[in-house]
Amino acid sequence: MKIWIYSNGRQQGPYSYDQFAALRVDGSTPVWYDGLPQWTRADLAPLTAPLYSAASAGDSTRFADRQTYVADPNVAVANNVTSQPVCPPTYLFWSIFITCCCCQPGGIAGIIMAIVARSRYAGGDYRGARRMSEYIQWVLIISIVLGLMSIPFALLF
Amino acid sequence: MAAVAFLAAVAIAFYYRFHDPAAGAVPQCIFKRLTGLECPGCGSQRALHAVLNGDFSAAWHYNAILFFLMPVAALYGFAALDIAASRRLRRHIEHPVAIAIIAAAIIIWWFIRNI
Repeated sequence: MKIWIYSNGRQQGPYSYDQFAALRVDGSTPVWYDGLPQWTRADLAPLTAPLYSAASAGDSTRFADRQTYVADPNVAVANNVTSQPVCPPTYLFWSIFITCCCCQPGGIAGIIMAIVARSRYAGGDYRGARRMSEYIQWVLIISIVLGLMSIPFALLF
Repeated sequence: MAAVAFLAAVAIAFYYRFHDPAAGAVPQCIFKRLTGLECPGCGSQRALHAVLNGDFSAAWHYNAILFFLMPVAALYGFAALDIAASRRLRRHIEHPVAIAIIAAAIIIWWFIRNI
């Protein structure tokens, strides 16, 4: 199970459940994982809630911290903004850069795949968008590696 | 990491400032080598050499779409940052239609330059 958190103004992760537990983030931190319909406070999401019911029971200072944290207007704004997951990166800078420099079809493929990722995201298919984002990453990495590898051959022959 | 990238960029700029790619000793496009046709990025090295020597009309002649794609790439690079202005910009320029326009422009350019 991969868990994303929204902290310090940005999306972070993915973390495994154990990594997440080790982070000891505040209960008001928005979290999201596959199966959760939207970003949810860590102490309310079914998967992570048990961590907080145990932690806050005997720890009153921690509970007090959380009260002030929720009252912070910036945090309230952040929670609103992330009511849907942040769109995964589309790496368009790199796609266009590769199109200009590497002479590889990978750059154009990356741009087309960015359209697919963004369309899926707009249609609410967040998991599909994330998967496409990962594919784009691979296409671009392979393009750059092949492009660099081809330089000696291009020079020699 | 950023320092290494910067130094590499400076080194590459120096190389292309004083070395004319038309004279050889630079990697040639594999697509062009195999098919004889030009890819959308062909001419970038010569154009870079021309720009670094202040000859913008020659650069335009070698690869015109760079004058469109380089600012666009810079815009997307900025939009990928994690600041509020970038997030606002990202909503607009990463709209599927906006990306499709760029993809169409590249593909049309690819056809035109080979006719």
